[in-house]
Amino acid sequence: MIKLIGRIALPTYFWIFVAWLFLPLAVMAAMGFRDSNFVAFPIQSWTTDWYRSVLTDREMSASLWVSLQVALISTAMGLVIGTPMAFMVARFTGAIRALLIAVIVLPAFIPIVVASISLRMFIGNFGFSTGIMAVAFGHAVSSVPFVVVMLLTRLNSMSTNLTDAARDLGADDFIVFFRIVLPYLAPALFGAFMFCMLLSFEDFTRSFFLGSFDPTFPVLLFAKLRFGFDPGLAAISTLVLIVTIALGLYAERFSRRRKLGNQGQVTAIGDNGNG
Amino acid sequence: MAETTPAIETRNVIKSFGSVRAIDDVSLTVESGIFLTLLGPSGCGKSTLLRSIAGFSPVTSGTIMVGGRDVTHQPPHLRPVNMVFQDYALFPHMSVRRNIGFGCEMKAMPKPEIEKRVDAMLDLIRLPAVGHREPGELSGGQRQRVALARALAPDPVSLLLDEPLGALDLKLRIELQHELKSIQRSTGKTFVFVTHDQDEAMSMSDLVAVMKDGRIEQLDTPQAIYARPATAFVAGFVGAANLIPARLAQLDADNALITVEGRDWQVPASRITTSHMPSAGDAITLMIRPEDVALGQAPEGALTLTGKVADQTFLGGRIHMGCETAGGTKIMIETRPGGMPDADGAIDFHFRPDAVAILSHSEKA
Repeated sequence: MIKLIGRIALPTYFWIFVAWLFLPLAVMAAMGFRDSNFVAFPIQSWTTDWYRSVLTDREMSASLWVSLQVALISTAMGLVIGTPMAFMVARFTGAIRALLIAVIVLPAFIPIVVASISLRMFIGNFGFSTGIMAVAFGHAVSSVPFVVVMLLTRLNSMSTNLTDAARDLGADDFIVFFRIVLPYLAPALFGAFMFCMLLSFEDFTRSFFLGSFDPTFPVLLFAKLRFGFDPGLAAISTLVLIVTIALGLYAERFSRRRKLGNQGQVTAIGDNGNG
Repeated sequence: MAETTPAIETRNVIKSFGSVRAIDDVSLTVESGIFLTLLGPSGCGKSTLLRSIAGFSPVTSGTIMVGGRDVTHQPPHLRPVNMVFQDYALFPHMSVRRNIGFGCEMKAMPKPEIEKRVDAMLDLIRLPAVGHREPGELSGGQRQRVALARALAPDPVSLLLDEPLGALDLKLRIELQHELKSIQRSTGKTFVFVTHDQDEAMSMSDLVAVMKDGRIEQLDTPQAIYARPATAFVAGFVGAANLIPARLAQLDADNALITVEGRDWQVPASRITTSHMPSAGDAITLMIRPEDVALGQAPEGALTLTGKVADQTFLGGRIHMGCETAGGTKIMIETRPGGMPDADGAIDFHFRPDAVAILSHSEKA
């Protein structure tokens, strides 16, 4: 009986769940090929015109460019702010460490709307203007916690003997940092980079509150929605989906490969935490 | 011996952590080309001493000399000693070649010279084919060999090895012990080796320093440490030891008269191995190894005791007996099977006077 459940029921359950996850996306992708001005079933005639038109749509490509700039700037800020913080936290243990992590991680738990409004007020009162830099600043605030946590996990898995060995062989602090510590952190840095990029790219709320007249991609989509769905929205959404999934899978594979490569080393030192 | 500079010298080194002295006034001279082992239980200060020599653990007071140079206040990267770590500490993102060449690179050696040196090292550890692999792709034994090559490559005055074989299984450990010893011989390098494993210390070292509570209890050859332990602690740590309470009745230049369980025996005065020379009337401890205790007819001059067998374990070629003497002292005996004791368990056993060691009573194991 149990065997039967294991062989049939569990896989069925799994595939139903998968369908539920991916069916809406599949419908969206298909809609992009509908030869009509409206999104509806059934699709009677097919066209690639929508895909072609969104690729040449200036408004779309301009918003994607804005989003990319915001993502790059905010990610750079997140990494520059988060990396030294991770090093600082790594020097503490026990209650102080827990407290520091709590403070750093807090922004991730503040409701995004609240955070956005507070940032908007902050910017207004201190004479900063809304726009790409403001949005990037808002995104950086939310990406720092992820940077710190990801780097900290990796740092924890690093044996102190690794830096000791380098110093022992004649490396000064500067060389130890650039030749040993940074390369060791590289997979985590790369993972944090990808994660922050995607986080920034998909953010709507902060971009909406902090942006000016150049909308980011999600904000533009929202603006377009007000005039109703058309297959062009489905087409551009599908393209964005494909690109982000490809990048995400690549990042995942990359960090997984690095992990496997280090696994022997990690188990050898009796430490199973890794980043 | 010719006048040579010692590879390593510590003078009155003290390392305090709060009120605890991890190293308590250690003065140690390691002559060049020697394989010296710091042996002791965990927490005896052996690793701290090694890390102090490497520069990772600044000393509270005292002087550390490496190759005749005072390095007490120098950071690790300026000291001409290299360490081999228990967890190997190979750089995971560098190839084996880059790992081995790292020290030479830091010394700003020209590239072709580094390459030659790395090749020589790979040959030395008999792993010429792994140069382009990453450490993660190697087995534990291979990694430890690479760690050794990496430490040897910059040609340090001395190698410091911190329980380097501790993470390996027994068979591999013994294999690497031999290899380590032969590499030490062929390179003529000074090795300072830290371990808590007495067999490892005995089989590899030219000299063993037994440590306890931050101090060196005894520094001597493995043979001398085993045969002539200076304290009851050393006797018990290095092999199994029977410790029998006794009293020194008389002492002259050649002989000592000792009283054990009401009987007087004559023992050569040279068997007084403790550094605190006892005087007549003092309580002493008589140390005898289990394999030096024999059963049956005692030859002339042998020390004889009577006791009862408490338990015995058959070990194939040997038999292990736990006995209790009439005076209540527990004695371990290791002997060949045969000559079984009487049914009531009463036996006579004896040992040669020149097999015992006379220790100071005040020092407990």
